[in-house]
Amino acid sequence: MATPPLDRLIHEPARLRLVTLLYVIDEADFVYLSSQTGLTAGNISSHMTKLEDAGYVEIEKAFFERKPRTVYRLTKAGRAAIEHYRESISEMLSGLSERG
Amino acid sequence: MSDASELSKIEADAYRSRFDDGLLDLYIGIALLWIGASWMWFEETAAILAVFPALVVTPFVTWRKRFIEERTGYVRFSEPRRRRERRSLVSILVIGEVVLIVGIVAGIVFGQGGNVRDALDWLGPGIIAFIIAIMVGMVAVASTLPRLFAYATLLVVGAVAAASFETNPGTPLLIVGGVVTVWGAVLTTRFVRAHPRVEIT
Repeated sequence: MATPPLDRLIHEPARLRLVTLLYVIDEADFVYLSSQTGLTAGNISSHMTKLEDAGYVEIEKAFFERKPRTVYRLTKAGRAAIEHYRESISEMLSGLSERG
Repeated sequence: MSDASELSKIEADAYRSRFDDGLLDLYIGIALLWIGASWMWFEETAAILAVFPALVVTPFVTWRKRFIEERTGYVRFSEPRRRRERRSLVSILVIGEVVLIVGIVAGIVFGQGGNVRDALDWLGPGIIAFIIAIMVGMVAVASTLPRLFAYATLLVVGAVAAASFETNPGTPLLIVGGVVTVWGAVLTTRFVRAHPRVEIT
C-alpha cells in the first residue's frame, strides 16, 4: 500500500496546533493563539507568515478600541489542506493497524 | 487530529477555557445572594427585586468580554457554537421572565391581594431554589462547565432541605450563593494572576 503524502507545512507540530485550533474556531487574534498553544510571539509570527505565504491563513491587521489587533483565520485552501491532511493521516494509521 | 471527535474535543476545551476567569461564577453567586437576601428581608418586593440580576446581564456580558479579551485575547467561535449560545441565552431569559410573571400572578391569585408569602406556602419554600437550579442547569448545559452542574445540584439539595425544614425560601439561596461567590472569587484571582493584561495583540 502506498503511503499517502503528508503536507509538511501542516505536519510540523507547532503549526499543526495552530491550524487545528483555527480549524475548530472561526478566527482569533495573536494573544488568544498564544494563550491556547503556549507558543511565543516570535514562534506564532514566523509560523503564520509561512502559512500565509502558502495561502492557508489570512491575516487581518486592524485597530480595536485604538489598540492594534492582528486576527488570523483559515482560508478555504487552508481548510481543504487540513481536511486532506486528516484523510492522509487516517489512511496511514489504518494501514498501520492492519499490519499490526 | 485524525478523528472528528478529537476536533470536537479541541473545540469544546477551547470554549470551556473561555470561562476560566470565574466571573460567571461570581455573577451567579452574587445573583443568588441578592435574590436570597430579597426573600429573607424584603419578602413583599422580592419578586420585583429578583429581576435586577437579569437586568444587568447585558452590561455584564459586554464588560466580561472586554475583561477576558484584554488578558487571553480575542476569539470568535464557529457559527453553530454561536447559534447554540444565543439559543441558550434566549431560553434562560424567557424562562426567567415566565417564572417572574407566574410568581407575580401566583402572589395575586393565591395570596389574596398580593401576599407572596401565602403563594409561596402553597408552592413550597424550596420552589425558588428549584427554579433557579433549573436555570443554572441550563447555563451548565450551554457552557458545558461541570462546576455549574455542581451549583445546580447544590441548589436542588437546598430546595429539598428548605421544603423539608420549612425554612425561609432565601436560606438555601444565601448558603449556595455564598459558596459560589467564594469559589468565583478564587477562580477570578487565579485567572488575573495567570493572565496579566496584554496591550499588543
